[in-house]
Amino acid sequence: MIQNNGSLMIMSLSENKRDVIKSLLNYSSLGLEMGLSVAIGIGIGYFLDSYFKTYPYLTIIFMLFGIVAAMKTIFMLLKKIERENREDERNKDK
Amino acid sequence: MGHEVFTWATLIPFLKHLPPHVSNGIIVSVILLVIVILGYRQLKRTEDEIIPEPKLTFRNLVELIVEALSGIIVDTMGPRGKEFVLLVGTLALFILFNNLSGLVPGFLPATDNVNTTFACSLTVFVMTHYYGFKEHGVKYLKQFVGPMWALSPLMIPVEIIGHIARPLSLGVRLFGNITGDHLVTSIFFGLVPFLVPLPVMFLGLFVAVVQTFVFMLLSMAYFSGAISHEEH
Repeated sequence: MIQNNGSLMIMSLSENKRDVIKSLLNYSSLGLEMGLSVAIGIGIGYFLDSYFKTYPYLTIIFMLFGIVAAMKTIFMLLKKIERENREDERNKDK
Repeated sequence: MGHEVFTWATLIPFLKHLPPHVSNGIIVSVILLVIVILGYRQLKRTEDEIIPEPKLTFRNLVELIVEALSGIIVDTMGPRGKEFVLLVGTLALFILFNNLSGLVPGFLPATDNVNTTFACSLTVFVMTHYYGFKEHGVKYLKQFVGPMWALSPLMIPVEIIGHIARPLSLGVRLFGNITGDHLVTSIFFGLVPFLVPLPVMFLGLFVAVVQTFVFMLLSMAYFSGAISHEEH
């Protein structure tokens, strides 16, 4: 019995650890994606500006779009975490 | 560096004139192909056996790899993950073997060139939208519009920028990690070519596996985002 409990504990611990590692890897990508979003926004804006000869305006507008895209990435991730937490709690209640 | 870097590919006549990342990528792909063909032939030969062989054979090893990969994918994506085992598993094996080939002397890992990593990440990018259209039809475009039609001129550029950032970050991350690791190893090797590069090479082993895992996890997250039916 004791042995059984012990092995169960180890199993749950390893699963927990695996989840932690998985989410760590998943969320560590956030920083790069945020930075790149802003950079891509500025890039698109600069390209359009040099095409239409309207220098600062489109760059600024698309930079703002890029910043919003970066924020949206965080927002979607937060929503995902919230949903996963809710599912976990529901599983625990069962 | 003043002299030409030696790689095994320079000894093979057909691959001599190709850039090193292409020739090493070809060599790694050929090795993978040989492993797959050998494993498949063994599987064919022992098709009707029910009891697995008692000791670790080549076939067991291949089965172990495939089961581990499909286990990770189904674990992360749910029951629909089986459709993606082929694509994600291929990418994972290609990237893992290429990363690990950097630790073998005389091999330049193909993944320490931007072209290879972007080829992988663009595959993920294109296939994401392919699966999205296959799943939802034209309604897939609705994901880009956002919750309200009135806000769509604001949401569409934001979504497009977000979607372009994904393959870029996938490719840049893999390229940066493998290049950095390879560079550090070679510099330590140049300084003290005895025992000192060992911890760095161990770190390289770790980086190779972790980066493969990250690439897999992220591409799976993108795929499941494209085929999910929830509001975004």
